[in-house]
Amino acid sequence: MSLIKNNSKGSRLMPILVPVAGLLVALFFAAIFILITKNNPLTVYGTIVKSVFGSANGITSLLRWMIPLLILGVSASFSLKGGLWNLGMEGQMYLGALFATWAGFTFVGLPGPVIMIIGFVTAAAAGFLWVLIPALLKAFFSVNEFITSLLMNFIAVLLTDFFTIKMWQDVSMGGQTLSTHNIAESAIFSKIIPGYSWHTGFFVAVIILLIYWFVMKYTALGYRIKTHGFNPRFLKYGGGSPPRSIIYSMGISGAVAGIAGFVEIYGVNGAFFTRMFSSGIAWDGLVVALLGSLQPMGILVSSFLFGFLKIGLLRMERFTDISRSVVTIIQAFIIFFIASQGALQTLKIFKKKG
Amino acid sequence: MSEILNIELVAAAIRMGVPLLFAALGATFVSSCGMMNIAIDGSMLVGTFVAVVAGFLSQSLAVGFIGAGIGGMMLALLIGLLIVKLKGDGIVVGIGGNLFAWGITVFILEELFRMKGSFTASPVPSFKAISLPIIENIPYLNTIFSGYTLPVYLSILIAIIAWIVLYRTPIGLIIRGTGANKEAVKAAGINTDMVQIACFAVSGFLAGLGGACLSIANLQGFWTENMTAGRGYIALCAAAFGRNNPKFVVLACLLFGLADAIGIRFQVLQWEPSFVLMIPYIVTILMLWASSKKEVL
Repeated sequence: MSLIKNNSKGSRLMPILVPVAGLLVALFFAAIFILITKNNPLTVYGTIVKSVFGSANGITSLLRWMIPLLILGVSASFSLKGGLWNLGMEGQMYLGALFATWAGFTFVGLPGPVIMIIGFVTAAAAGFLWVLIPALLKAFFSVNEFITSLLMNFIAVLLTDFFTIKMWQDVSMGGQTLSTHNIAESAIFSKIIPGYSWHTGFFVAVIILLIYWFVMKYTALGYRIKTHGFNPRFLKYGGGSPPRSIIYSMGISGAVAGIAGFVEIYGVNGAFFTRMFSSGIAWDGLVVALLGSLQPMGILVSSFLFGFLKIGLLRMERFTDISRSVVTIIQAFIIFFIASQGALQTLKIFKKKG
Repeated sequence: MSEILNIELVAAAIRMGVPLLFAALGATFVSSCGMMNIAIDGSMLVGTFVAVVAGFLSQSLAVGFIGAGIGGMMLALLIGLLIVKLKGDGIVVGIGGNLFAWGITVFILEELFRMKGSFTASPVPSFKAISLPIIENIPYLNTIFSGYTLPVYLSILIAIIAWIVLYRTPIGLIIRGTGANKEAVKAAGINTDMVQIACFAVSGFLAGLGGACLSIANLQGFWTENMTAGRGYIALCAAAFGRNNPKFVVLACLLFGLADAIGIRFQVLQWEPSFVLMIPYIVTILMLWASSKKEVL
């Protein structure tokens, strides 16, 4: 966990420099894979930049993708700050989305904003309850939360399959689509610019980021979480309770991941489909958090960069014959870059002393 | 209940447990030297893929199987170097390795074979069931001991070798010594970094073979994107649950295989498939909980 501690001491510019450097390094390695496909990496990257920033449609799609990335980045940061690995964000997001959808089509009669609040709360509750299982196991039985939370993803996704197909399937289309009923029209986030996919859920994401910043900087809760991340024993000597901190940090992380599901449903999809999110979504959030050094500014920057990468490569697939899987490979290289950062810092220290 | 609990179930449990056993034995080596290889899942995934692709291209079963091991080993070597030499965080690097395995397999599938989602070319050479002489004529014993593919028998052999190497040879002493007290082993003049990287390589090789079992032994040469579905993590738990001793790791893998096999049987009873597929994951979590007080993993 040295990586998290190191970064918190870095200079003010670190949260911005690290993501940019990480992306550049990863793009360099990804260029090798693009060369294999007999394309020119520079032309490809040029096309990506042009296709994203060259049109209003491109920019708004980027901002639309920033919404889940930001929220998931905050979710991952809440657990990582506490020195814990919540790798169950995918499952929490799925369940959050599913139960928010349920709220959306069950309370159709109520006014839109009320439905949204109910959806928000159910999604957060679903994510919270789901993460509670690995959190409690970690807090009271020291079961490694890394693997349990990850395995919970598979269970969660299968659970949503069951609910969608067996309980709430929309049979109006003859049962052909594996999706639930649509949520109330009045509860859908309005678009910020009419005609483009960027929606007001963006403000929810920004508020969540601000809350993260505030909690970590000014509250006792944030202090507890950080202290637990630094060293659970310190927390204990200081009179705090490590199990309680584990539940706070994992629990908030899970609730926020659930909210990411809510925002996707109420902002974009309007109904729950089986296997609707790409299976890399939780990794995206984790990379955003790590790349942003768990700092609010860093999360903002890296979610922007990652949104760009995602949209860019999706578009690239349309114009060239390069596989979208390049984005997963780039992600892997970014992670390798982050992981070897600790090594780079130690090298610097040795040079100064020597 | 008789269509679930019968002698065939034992055979099914062994069949399902073997891919895990290969990977878990690999994990045992890394855990013994004091590290953790999260990227076991990635090595397994590379193994499933290489087994099908190399087998298809060469039309040789041996090339597919060994190639799977080598593919898994290459990934594990990369991970091992990043962790041991560059002092990267084990979990972060491991996550990166699993993502890399996922990305690279899909990339090759789409770029080289122009296929999406799954490998559909044929024929892919795959393992056929072997009937053991004499035993195949004895009732009950034939179901339990005969009629498996070659990797099943091989896995038992490798488990025995792993146990001998780890607990009865000087090499094993060095590996376990590195895990228990790295500085002491270093003081004895042994390059512990090399020991750990070698353990990563062995773990990747075995995990790759385990992956091959999934795609060309349990299935007849079939591959889909991300087909390990977290089995590498389950193998990691099996190694921890077996306290990194091959003797117990075999039992742990049998238990996980049993959970898998029972799940498949329940589909016969028209159980909800979603719930059936959850069983292995739930069992793994419960087993981690059950063994928590002993502070494994």
